[in-house]
Amino acid sequence: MEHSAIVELIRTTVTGILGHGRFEMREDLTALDVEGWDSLTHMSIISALEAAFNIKFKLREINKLRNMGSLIELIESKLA
Amino acid sequence: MVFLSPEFIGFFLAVFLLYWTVGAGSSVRQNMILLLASVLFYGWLDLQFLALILFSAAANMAIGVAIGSAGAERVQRAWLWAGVGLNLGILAYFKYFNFFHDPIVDVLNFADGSHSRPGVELVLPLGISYYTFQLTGYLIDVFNGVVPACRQPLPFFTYVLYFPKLLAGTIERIQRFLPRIATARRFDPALISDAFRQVLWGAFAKLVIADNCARLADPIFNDAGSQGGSTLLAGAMLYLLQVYGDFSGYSNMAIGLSKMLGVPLMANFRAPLFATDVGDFWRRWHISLTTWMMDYVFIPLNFLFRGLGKLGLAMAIFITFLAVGIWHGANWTFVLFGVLQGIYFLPLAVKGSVLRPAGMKKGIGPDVKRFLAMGGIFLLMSLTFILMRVPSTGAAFAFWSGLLDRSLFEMPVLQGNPLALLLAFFIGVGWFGRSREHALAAPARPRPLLLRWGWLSFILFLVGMYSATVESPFIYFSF
Repeated sequence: MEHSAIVELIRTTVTGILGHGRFEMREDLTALDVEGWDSLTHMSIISALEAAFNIKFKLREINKLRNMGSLIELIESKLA
Repeated sequence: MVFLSPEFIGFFLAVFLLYWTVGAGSSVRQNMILLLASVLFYGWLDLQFLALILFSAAANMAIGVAIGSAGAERVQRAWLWAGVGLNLGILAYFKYFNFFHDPIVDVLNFADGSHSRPGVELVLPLGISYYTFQLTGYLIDVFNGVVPACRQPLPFFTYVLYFPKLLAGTIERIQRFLPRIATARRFDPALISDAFRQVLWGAFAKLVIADNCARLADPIFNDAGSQGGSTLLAGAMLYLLQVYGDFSGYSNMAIGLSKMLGVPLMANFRAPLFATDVGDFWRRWHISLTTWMMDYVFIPLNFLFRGLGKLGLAMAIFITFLAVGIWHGANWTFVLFGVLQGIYFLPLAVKGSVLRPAGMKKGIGPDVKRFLAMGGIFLLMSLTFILMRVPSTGAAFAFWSGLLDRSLFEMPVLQGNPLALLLAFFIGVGWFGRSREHALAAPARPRPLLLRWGWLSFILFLVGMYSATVESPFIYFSF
C-alpha cells in the first residue's frame, strides 16, 4: 500500500469515528490537537484502524505512540 | 510515629537540617540522607517488615534490569509476569490470606468439621499496598518501553522507600520522581513557605475536621441499630467528611513535608467535595490511585475489550472499580463498594462522557444546577462510603434500611458540639481555593504581608483551639 493511500485511509477512519474532519494530517499532530480525540474515542479509533487495515496492534505499541507520524510508521511497518 | 507526633517532628527537623547543610550541593549526598532517613523511619515503625520492603525493592530492580536487557519479547514478558506475580503474591498473602482461607476452611468443616481457622490475623506490613503498586507499575512501564530500567541502586531505593510518601502514598511514578532527585535540590524559600502552608492545611483537615467528625460519627456507627433515619444520614455525611479530612490531610502533610526537602510529589486530591458527577469525583479523589488504576488496569482492559464497543467499555470500568474496592482490603464491604461505584459509572459509559473532565468554573458560587449536582454526589458518596466503616455487608444493608423511616425527617441526634461552623469554614476555604494545588496555596496576586500572616495565624489558632482531644490514627494506613 502506498504511503499516501495509508494516510488517506487513516484520515477517513478517524473522521468516521470522530464525526468530523477538522484536523490536518501532519506528522506532529497529537490526539490533544484534535477535538473529541480523548482516551475514550482513542480505543475506538484503534479498533477501527485494525479493521480498516486488517492488522492487529499490541498494547505496548499503542502505549508508545506519540503523534500521527508514529501511528503512520507503525501501520506501515505492520503492512510491510 | 506519625507526622504530628513530637518524635516525628524531631526526626524530620534533624533530617531537614542535615539535608540542607551536609547534603547541600550534591544529589548523591542528599539521596543518601533521604534513603538512610527512610530506612530508619520504616525500621522504627515496622522493623519486622523492613527486610520485606528492601527485598521487594531489590527484586524489582533486578527484574526491571532483566526486562530491559532481554532481547526477545517472549523473555521480557516472562520476566514481567514473574515480577507482577511476585508483587501481587506478596500483597495477596498479607492482605487477603484470611479472606480466601476462612471460606475454604468453612467448606471443609461443612464436610467433616475437623478443620480449624488459623485464629491469627496476619499483620499487614506498613505501606505494602502503596509500594507494591509503585513497583508493579514500574515493571509494566519498563516492559512497555515507557521508562528505561533503572540500574542505579541509590535513586531506585530512594524512590521505593522515600519516607514522606511511604505509609499511605502518594503512589508516585518513577518517571516523575527520578528526575526530581537526579540533580542537587536547591533551597527555595518560596517552595518551603508553600510547604508550610500545605502542612498547616493538612493538619487542620486531620486534627480539626477528621478527628472531630470521628467524635460525632463513631457513636452513631457503634450503635447504628438504635438510631433514627436522620441521625444515620448525618453519620454517613460526617463519615465522608472524616475520611476526606483524614486522607486529604495526610496527603497534604506528606506532599508538604516532601516539598520542604525540595521534592514535589503529585497531587492526591483536587476538591472532590465539589464534584458534579461520579466520573468527576474519581478524577479528584485519591488521584494517585485512580490514575494508577486507569493506566495499568482500565486501559489494558479497554484495549482487550475494544472490539465489544460500549459493552467492552462498561466491562473495563466495572472490573477497574472492583479492583479499586478490593485494593482497600479483604472484606466483602470493599467488594460491594467497588461494584456500586462501577454501577454508578455505567450511565456515563453509555453517554460517552466517562473520561471527559467536567472542568471547574471560576466565580464566587456555583449556579443552581451545579450546586444540586454537587449535593447529589456528596449524598451518594456519603451513603456509599459507609461501606468503609461498617464491619459487614449485612451491617451496611441494615444501615441503609434504617434510613427508610419516618425518623429521616426528624432532627438528628448528635452527641457533643455540632461542628457546623468549622465544617462551613473548611468547605468555604476549600471552595475558594478549589483551582489551586491546595486550599492555602498563595493566590496568583500576592496579598499584603500582614493579611497573609494574619490569615495563617488564624488557622493555626483554630488548630490549637479546636483539635479533637482524642487523636485517631490515619484511616488509610490500614489499606
